[in-house]
Formats: sequence, structure tokens, C-alpha cells
Amino acid sequence: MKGLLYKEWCLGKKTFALFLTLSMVFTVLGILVFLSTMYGNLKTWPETEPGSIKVFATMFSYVPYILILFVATSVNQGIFMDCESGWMKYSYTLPQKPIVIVGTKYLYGLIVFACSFIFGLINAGFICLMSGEKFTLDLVRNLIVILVAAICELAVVTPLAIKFKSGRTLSTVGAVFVMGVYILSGYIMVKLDEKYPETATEIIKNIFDKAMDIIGMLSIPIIVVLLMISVFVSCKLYQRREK
Amino acid sequence: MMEYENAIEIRDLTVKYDGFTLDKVSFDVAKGSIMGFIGQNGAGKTTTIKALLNIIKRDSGSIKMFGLDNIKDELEIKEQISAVFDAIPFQEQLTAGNLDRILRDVYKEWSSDTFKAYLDRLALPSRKKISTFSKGMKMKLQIAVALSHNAKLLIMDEATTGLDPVVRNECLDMFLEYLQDENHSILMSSHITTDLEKVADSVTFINKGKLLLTGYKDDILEKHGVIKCKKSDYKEISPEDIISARINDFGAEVMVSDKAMCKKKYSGLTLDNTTLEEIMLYYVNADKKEWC
Repeated sequence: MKGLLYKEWCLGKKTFALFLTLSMVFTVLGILVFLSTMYGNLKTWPETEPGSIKVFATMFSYVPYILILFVATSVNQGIFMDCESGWMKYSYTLPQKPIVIVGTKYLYGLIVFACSFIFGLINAGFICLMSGEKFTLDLVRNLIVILVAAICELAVVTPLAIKFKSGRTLSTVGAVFVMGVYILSGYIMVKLDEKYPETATEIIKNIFDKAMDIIGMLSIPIIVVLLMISVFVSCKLYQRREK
Repeated sequence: MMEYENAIEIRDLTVKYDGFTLDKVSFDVAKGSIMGFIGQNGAGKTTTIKALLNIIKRDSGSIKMFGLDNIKDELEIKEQISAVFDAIPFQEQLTAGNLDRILRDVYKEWSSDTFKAYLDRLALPSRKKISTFSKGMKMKLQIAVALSHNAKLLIMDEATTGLDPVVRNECLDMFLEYLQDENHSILMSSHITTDLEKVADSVTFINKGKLLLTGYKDDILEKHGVIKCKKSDYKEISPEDIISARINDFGAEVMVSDKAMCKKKYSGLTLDNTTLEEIMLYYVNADKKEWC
């Protein structure tokens, strides 16, 4: 398994390095913005209001989430590369059990996600430290929810990639799905706003917070069940010999 | 591993696709030998090899490798075999050095020293990405990988197709070297019959999913011959002696499968030796009997 994990690393290391660089660049950028707001040019700008630092903190707090999703894309890329090159066919000639061949992809994904989660926490910690905001459990919860989303993507994409052997098809289907969800959410928000013009934002925020809490609390069982199902399906699909 | 006579034993292998059937194919590859697996494109060579490697599901028949069942004893068998495909199966972002690190944990008997020695010998850079390699270099890399884990059987699917003659000869020399160990065997599918004529001990010829010929190459070449004659003489040859005949304005060229008997029976006619390519051509046209 070590060798196969190394293969995944070879395929994904460039994107991971890019993730690390971006992560560090944004952290440094955040530190500079906060320092400037407190002691530098931004402090003396007429547009800089007393609450600006909070706005900057909110802006930079999205960075770790985006980076985790970025890492998830890199994991998918590795899976697509396998399916589109002759590697899958070649892997049938290797003296390894299907669970090892397929399981490596999941294990690599989990290792990379764990790393990105830790970097996300560090990043969020820095932002709180510099902005003077409290490092709350909500921050950790939000990171966990994003992590669950990334693992869900891994769990859905891997068996589909093995089945269809094409990254492009999956990317297109994925993009259409995300756009669909986006349009649907927009539609619901507009409708809510029409029905409850005064309280719509509050309602949405409450629903969102509740959903985040539930996902945050149930993250471990969700991940475990989803991954078990996904690994099982992927193994079955991998073992199913074509005709 | 148990004692075995044949590296591969295929019996009544049947695989049915939509529009194609590999029909009860049976042949053996003897231990220590190289078998050429010949046929036109679409004849069923790749299907047979895929069934052998358990990449596709077969409908019936049995396959044994080193005396073991290719499905039940899959992992044990796969430790002992190497497959070389017509296109490189490794991701182009990888380097030869990466492959060494990957495969040393995959195969129990992987030898980094052997692999590095092959890379040096074949002038393959270990740190350059595969994407920068030429087609010949990619094929050499596949062969270097295949020969670096002490495999007892090489299975090659059109591995030398599309390579220039120099690289092809280099590859063939490596195969012959590999066969110096009497425990090593090769099954080599190709439609470049001249390569097989050079290196193969035995030949199996399939067409449209059916086995036409299998046996020692020298025996097959010895048995077959081409009678070159006038059209009027051609009429005198018994149809049962003829595989098929190429007819043109100048006369007829008739492939026969019992050269010794035909030499006596048609002593007045010229009977030439033949090649695997000619045998393949005449057998492919055997349904028509006469062709131009």
C-alpha cells in the first residue's frame, strides 16, 4: 500500500504544494492587512471605520474553507488521471487485492484532507489572533462541515470515476449539479424574501446554523458510513470485469 | 509453487461480446518458450490476453498458469507475471524513479538494482517525466518494469507494434536474453510476423475468434508451402489439399498444409517454402478459397 500511496502523492503533490503556498500567502496577507489596520496606512485611511477589522477578519475566515475544497479537487484529479490513463487496466495485473488498489485512493484523500484541516485550523487561528476575534468552536465546526463536504465529494466521485472511467464527464455532471444547487438555493431565498421580507435573512441564518450544527455533531458517523458504503461500491465496481 | 510443464494452459476459452465471439480457444505455452500469438486486428488476441489476466469475464473454459487457476490463485499468479501493453499504462506525470519507488512495495521480488541497470542499459532517464519520452522510450520503460520483479511469464499485447526496427530489435534481444533462464516464458501477441519468425518457438494463430493453428513454429513452416503454377495446373490440385489460392493474370499461388505429401503428389509443380505472414494471409482468406 505504501507504494500505491506514494503514486497518489506523486500525482497530487504539485497541487498540494500550490495549496500550501496559497495557504501561507493568504495567512501572510491577512497578517499584513490586520497590522496595517491596527498600526499602518489602513488605520489612517478616512474610509477605515472602527469595525473594519471585523470585516477583514470575516473576509479572511473563508480562506481555509476554500483551500480545503481546493485540496478536494486535487484528490479528484488524481482519481481521474488513473481512470483516464491505462493505470486501471494495469492495476489488474498487480499482485494486490482490490481493496488495496481502491482503498489507497480513499486513504490518500483522508490523509490530505486531515493535513488541509490542520492547516485550516492554523490559518483560522492566525486570523483570530491578528484580528483580536475569539477563536470559537463555531470556527472549528465550520471547518468540520467543509471537511465533511470534501469527504462526501470523495465518496461520491471515486465510485463514479471507476464506473465511467472519465473525469471530464464527471466534472461536467458535477458542475451542472453544483449550479443546480446554487440556482435552487437562490430560488428558495428569493421566495423566502418575498414571503417574509422582514425576517428572511434571520430565518435563513437560523436554518443554516442549525444545519451546520447537525452536520458538525454527526460528522464522524456521516463520514464513517459514507466512506464504508463508497469503498464497498468502488471495490465491487472495480472487481466487476468488463465484457 | 508447484511443478508445471506449461506456463499457460488455455482450454475451450469462450468470451462472447456483442458481435464477436472468442470461440473455444485452446492452446499451451510451454515453460521456457516464447509463443507468438498471431492474428489480424480484431481476431481476438487482446480478448484472449485480457481473459488470461482476468481483466474481462469469460463465459466458459479454463485458464491455468504455472498449473494454477487464473482466478482462484490470482494473486499468487500475478506475483509471477508481467504484462506489457501496446500503450504505456503509467501516468505521464510520473518518472522512472517514481515507478521504482511505487513498484518496490507492490511486488515482493522487485529489484531496484535490476530496474536501474535496465534504465542505464536502455538510456532511460530516471528523473524525467514519462510525458517527455518518445514512443520507443515508453515501450522500453514498460519492458524494464516488466523484467525487474523476477517474473516467470511475460505477456505482451502488441508490445512491439509501432516501434521503429532498431528499437524493435533491441526489445527482441532483451526477450531472448530473458529466455536464457529456462523457467521464463513469453506469450507475445503481434501482427508483425517477421518479429515472431525471429524469436518465437511456437505460434498460435487465431482468426475471427477461432483458433486456426497452434504448434511449433518450425513444424508449421515445415508443413506449409506455396505451389506456384499456371491456372491450368491449379485446376489439377485437389481442393482438400488447398488452404486457399491467390489467383492473378499470371497464374496461381496455392497454400498447402502438407508440403511433404504435396511434393510427391504434384512433383511437376514448384513448391516453395513459406513465411508466417503468408500462412496468415492464406488462412485469413481460407473461407473464400480463391482470392486476388
